[in-house]
Amino acid sequence: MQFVPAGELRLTYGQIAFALAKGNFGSHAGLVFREDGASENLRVLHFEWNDKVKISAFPGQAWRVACVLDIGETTGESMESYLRLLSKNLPKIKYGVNVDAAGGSFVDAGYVVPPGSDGLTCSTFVWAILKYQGLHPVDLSTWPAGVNVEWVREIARILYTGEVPDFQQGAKVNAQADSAKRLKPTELGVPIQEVPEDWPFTFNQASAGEPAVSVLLS
Amino acid sequence: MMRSNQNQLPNSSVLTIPSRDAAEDLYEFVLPIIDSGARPGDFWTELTDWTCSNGINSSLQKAVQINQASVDTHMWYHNLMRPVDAPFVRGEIFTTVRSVRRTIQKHSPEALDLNAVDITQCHPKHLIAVLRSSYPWKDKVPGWGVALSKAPEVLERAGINARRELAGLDR
Repeated sequence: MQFVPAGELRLTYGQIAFALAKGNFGSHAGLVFREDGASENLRVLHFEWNDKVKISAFPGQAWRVACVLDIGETTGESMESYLRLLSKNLPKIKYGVNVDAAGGSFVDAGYVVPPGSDGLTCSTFVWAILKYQGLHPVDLSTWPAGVNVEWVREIARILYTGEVPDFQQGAKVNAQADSAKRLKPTELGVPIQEVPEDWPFTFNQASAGEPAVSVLLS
Repeated sequence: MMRSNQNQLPNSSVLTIPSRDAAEDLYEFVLPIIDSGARPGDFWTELTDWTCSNGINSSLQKAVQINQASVDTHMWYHNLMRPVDAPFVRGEIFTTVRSVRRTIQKHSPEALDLNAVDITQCHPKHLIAVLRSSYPWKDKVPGWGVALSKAPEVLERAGINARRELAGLDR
C-alpha cells in the first residue's frame, strides 16, 4: 500500500500502519494502531529517545505520513493485539546502534536486552517488534557496517550532553562507531509498502527506493 | 473439567471482581462462550465445576481469580479448538495472543504443546495468531514446525490467503 498524509489515515479492523515523522537524525518511525481495537482512536507506539518509548495520539503535530501494512487481516489483528499489550506496560529501552545483537529484543513480557545488544533506534524498534511476530521487511545482514561513524558519534554526543546525560550508554554507543549498521526509517518505509511475500528487502533494494519515501517528509 | 451440578452458584450471588484486569479477563472469557451459543448459565457451571474439581470451596471472588489462571493457560487452546463455522467475535484474537504470551511467561514454551492439537481441525484465524505470537519460541514449542507445515492447508480450506498470513514464519 502507499503512504498517505497522516491526517488521512484510517484503520479498519485488524490493520496497523507504519508512520514517519521528521526526526533529529532525519526521520522518525512508529507503528499506528487502534487503541482498543474497536474505536477510531489511533495511537502511535514509538521509541523517541533513550529510555523514552512513547504511546501518543495520532496524528498529532509531528507525524507526516503513514502506510497501512498489507500483512493480512489476522496477522494484522495479532500484531495489533501485541501492540495493545505492549502499550499497557511500556518498556525502558536504551538508544543503541548494535543492530546485529538486537534481533531477539522482544520476547517474554516485552523488551529484554539480548546478549551484546546496546539497545535500539526508532527504526530498529519497529523492526524488532515486527520480527517478534515473524515479519521481516528487511534483511539487515545486507546493510553496510562501518560507514556510519559520524552518525554514531552524534548519537553518543547527545547521550553524553543531553537533558538527561547517560554516560554509560554514550560510551557503549561510541564503541560501536566502526561497526554499526544504520537502518533509516525511510529505508524501512520502502518494503513496508509491499506485501510480506516480497520481503525481506536487501540494502540495495531499500536504498534505491529510499529517496521516494524521504521526499514525503520534505 | 468435571461436571458437578450439586455445586451450582446461587443466581443471586454478587460477583466481586478484584481488579479491572480481572474484569477484562472475565469479560473476554465469557464473550466467546456466549457468542458460541452457550447460555450464560453454562459459564457459571464451568466456573463452579472448575473450583469444585480442584477441591476448593471458595467465594465467588476466589473463583474468579482461579478462573483467571484457567484463562491464562487455556484460552489459546479453547480458541484454537473453536468450530471453524462458529461466529467470529472481535477481540478473540487478542485473547489468543495474550494467552500465548501468559502461558509462556508463567510456565514455559513447552506448555504451549501444539503436538496435543489436531492442527487440521484448528480454527484458521486462531492458528495464525498462535503461530505469530509464539514465533520467538518456535524451536521450543512442541509441534510448532508441524503446525506451520499443516497451516497452509487449514487456511486455504477456509479461503484465507495462506502465503500472505504465514509470510516470514518459515525464516
